[in-house]
Amino acid sequence: MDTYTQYIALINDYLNNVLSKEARLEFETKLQNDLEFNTIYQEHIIFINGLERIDIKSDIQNAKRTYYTEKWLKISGISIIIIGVIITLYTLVFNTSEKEPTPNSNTFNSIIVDSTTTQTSIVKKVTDSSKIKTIETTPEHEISFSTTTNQRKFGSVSSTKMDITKQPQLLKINVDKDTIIRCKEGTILTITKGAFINPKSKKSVSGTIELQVTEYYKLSDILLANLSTVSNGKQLETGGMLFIEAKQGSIDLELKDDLPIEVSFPSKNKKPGMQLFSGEWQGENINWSLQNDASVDDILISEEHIEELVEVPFNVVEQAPIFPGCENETTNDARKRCMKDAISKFIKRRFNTNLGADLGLSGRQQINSIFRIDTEGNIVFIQSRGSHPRLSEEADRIISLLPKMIPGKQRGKAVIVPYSLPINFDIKGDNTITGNLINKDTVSMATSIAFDSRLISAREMDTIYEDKRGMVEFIREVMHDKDFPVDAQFISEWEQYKKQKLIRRISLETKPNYIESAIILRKPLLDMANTKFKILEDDSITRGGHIIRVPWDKTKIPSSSRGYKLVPKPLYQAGRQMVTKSEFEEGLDDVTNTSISSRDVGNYVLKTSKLGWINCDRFINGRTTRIKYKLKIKNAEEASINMVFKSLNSVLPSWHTNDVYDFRTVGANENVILVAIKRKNGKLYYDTVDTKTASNPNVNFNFKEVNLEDLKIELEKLTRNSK
Amino acid sequence: MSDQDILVLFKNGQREKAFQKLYYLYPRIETLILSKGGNKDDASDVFQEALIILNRNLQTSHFKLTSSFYTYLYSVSRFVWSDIQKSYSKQQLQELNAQEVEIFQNVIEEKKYQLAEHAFLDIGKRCQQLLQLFYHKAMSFKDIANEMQFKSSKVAKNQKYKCLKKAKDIYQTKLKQVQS
Repeated sequence: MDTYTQYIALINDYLNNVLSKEARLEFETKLQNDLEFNTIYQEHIIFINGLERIDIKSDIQNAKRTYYTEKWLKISGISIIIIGVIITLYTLVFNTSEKEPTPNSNTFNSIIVDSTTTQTSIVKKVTDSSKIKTIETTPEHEISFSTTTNQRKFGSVSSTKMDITKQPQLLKINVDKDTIIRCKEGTILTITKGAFINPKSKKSVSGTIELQVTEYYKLSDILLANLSTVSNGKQLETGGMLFIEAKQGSIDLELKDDLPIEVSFPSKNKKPGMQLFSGEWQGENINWSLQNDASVDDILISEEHIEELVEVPFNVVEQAPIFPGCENETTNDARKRCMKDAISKFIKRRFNTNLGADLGLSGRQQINSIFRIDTEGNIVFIQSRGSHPRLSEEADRIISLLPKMIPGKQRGKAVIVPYSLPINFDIKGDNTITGNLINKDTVSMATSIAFDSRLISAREMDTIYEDKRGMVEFIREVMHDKDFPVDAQFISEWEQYKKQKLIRRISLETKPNYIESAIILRKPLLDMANTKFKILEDDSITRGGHIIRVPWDKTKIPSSSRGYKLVPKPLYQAGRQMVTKSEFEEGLDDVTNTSISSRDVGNYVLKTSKLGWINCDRFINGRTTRIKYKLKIKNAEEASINMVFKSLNSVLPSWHTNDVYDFRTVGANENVILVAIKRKNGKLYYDTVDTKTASNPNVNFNFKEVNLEDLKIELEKLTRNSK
Repeated sequence: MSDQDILVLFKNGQREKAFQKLYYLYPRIETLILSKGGNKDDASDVFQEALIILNRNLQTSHFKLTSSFYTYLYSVSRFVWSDIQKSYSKQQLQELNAQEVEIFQNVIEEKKYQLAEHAFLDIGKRCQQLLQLFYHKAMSFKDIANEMQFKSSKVAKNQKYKCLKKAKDIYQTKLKQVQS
């Protein structure tokens, strides 16, 4: 044992190199000669190496662990980075397209760009005490990419959102004087002096203030601004929307309660019953509520304006429209006759009279048609009612084929001329047809119907045709005489009286919520020939011994304080309107034609005591069955979808949660266009779907990327195709 | 990191770091072992063995790395695996080139060390610690006595010889087992 221990110690010393040179040599010699020593040495080497393994192994294990940790860290690091990038991209993408549903109803998702480039050239004309300023502005759309949060009156905008806003017109007015402003698209604002007050001090401001007006008449503007026409869930038809803001310096001004601004909305095709609404954004849709202070006066004013519609009946018009080929006739009457004959011939030649027999009809058939010759000479607003719907369609078809004419003129100005056309023919038992069209009398009688329809209200038309109650019947009723002779001359006189307001048809609220129609006749009318009226001393009227009218006693006379309550006239019924599509388009072109001065078109004149969003609207009631309309769209991605009505100036918004778009209730079987606009990553996507409203709709959008200009053009096209 | 850099790490005694870098070659060695029918644990063991052999060779002055680390580790691993499988034929051995023979010898050598290692692992924790401190940390018996709370350095010295003897006995029996 002792030798072994010594040996080991010696080997250790040798391996550690601590031996002297002699000792080393001695050691190596011993290693070669002493076999036992050698074995011990070898063994020890193995042991030391074995021992070393433990050491190396621990190092390797550490290295391995570090390697795996690093690897894991690298993988997880990379994946974290990738996930991070994906999340960032995802949020970026969705932030841009997302319109976060904002819980506050007062928030408004678009920016109104401060107008910095609006140029105003002001033309001043002095009339009486008021100034008329014609302000030419360039309302350009602007795209703004905002990366910061913009606080405006209507709320905040999340970052990197793109918005398109119409450039407001910037007007500077002096509030110390009465001012009349005519805006670019025809809106006329009449502002009384001192109408603006500082909301804090409640005192009128003086000096120059800044007025910002944005007009929304065109469908494209309305859609781009994401505006819609709904009042507390009820559908409206719009006559134009405005956004008005008044500022002095940085103070937002308000209107004084008793000094409202008079707003005149331009309108070519005037519809009764327009009222003023104020808008408030609720989430992403705007809700319009009725401004209570739109008083009776205002409606009366608008009624007056309706009477000034530039539509002149065929019988009355100074220069009748000229049918191609009738140019050579010298007198107006001759031209009229020529036109009547030409139209009769035209219809006779083309009308498929076999249709009646095919439909199994027999006997005398009558189709009453009415259309208008617009200021361009085009045939528009064709409406027909026959004993069978197919006959009406046929009449529409033929009339739409009529050639373009030279428009009629009144006082040298092109006007719209309504023309009515009864088509009569007999279907005999043996199926031979005598297409005797139109004897003169019917034409003149029927034509007389046309001028009553100056307000082109479909319901009126319906009344005429449904009840066979045209102007003639109407006159007879008023005259309390079934056999009252009504001829063309009488009708033209009647028309004149109407113009002079000697005859007026009004609706009276005799009891609360009870509307009665009344006719006001003035004395000269009763002096008309053939009327056989007698006006007694007590002002009552007799005819043939019967008292037909007693004067109103004082309780019946509408007091000035109450005034007339005029109710909206019956409305368009699109479903029953027999107007062909192409005519619609042409009719629409007319509406958007802004070259017509406001004098030529009827204006809706209403007063507002509120600024902000203002809408001239009327309710759409009494329509066909209403259905719930919900869409489920796959690739919606927060797009905004609006429903545009072809027959109405109305836009319905949708409320969406995820991919379900809810239009709430809409009229069934309406021809509508669904317009979807998607904003994503600063790009615009757009598509429309032409459809008819029905339950459980199946609609898919195929979004295409568009730039703003193209989108505007598309929307303009839409304007033409709808309505 | 190039092979040269790793060599420098070895020379500077940063063995652990060098191993760490060499582990980047592991996935490829793993593929090799898996393709030869081993599992992941086998692959890990084989690679470890190859690293030990590499390390041992690098410590000897006459060793020169003639190829890349990967090539070297690859062939070593192959031999280690073959050895574990006892799958080489005489013919294969005869066809080996000089370098391969060397590697083969290394592998055989290493097997002995492995036995010694196992013997050490069997002598108990305290003996292991004592021998480690003496041979690797090169501590004096006095320090070892301090560290391991022996009464004196003499006791430590005596203990060390006992442990060594014990390990050698275990080794001898193991060797006999293997050879028989």
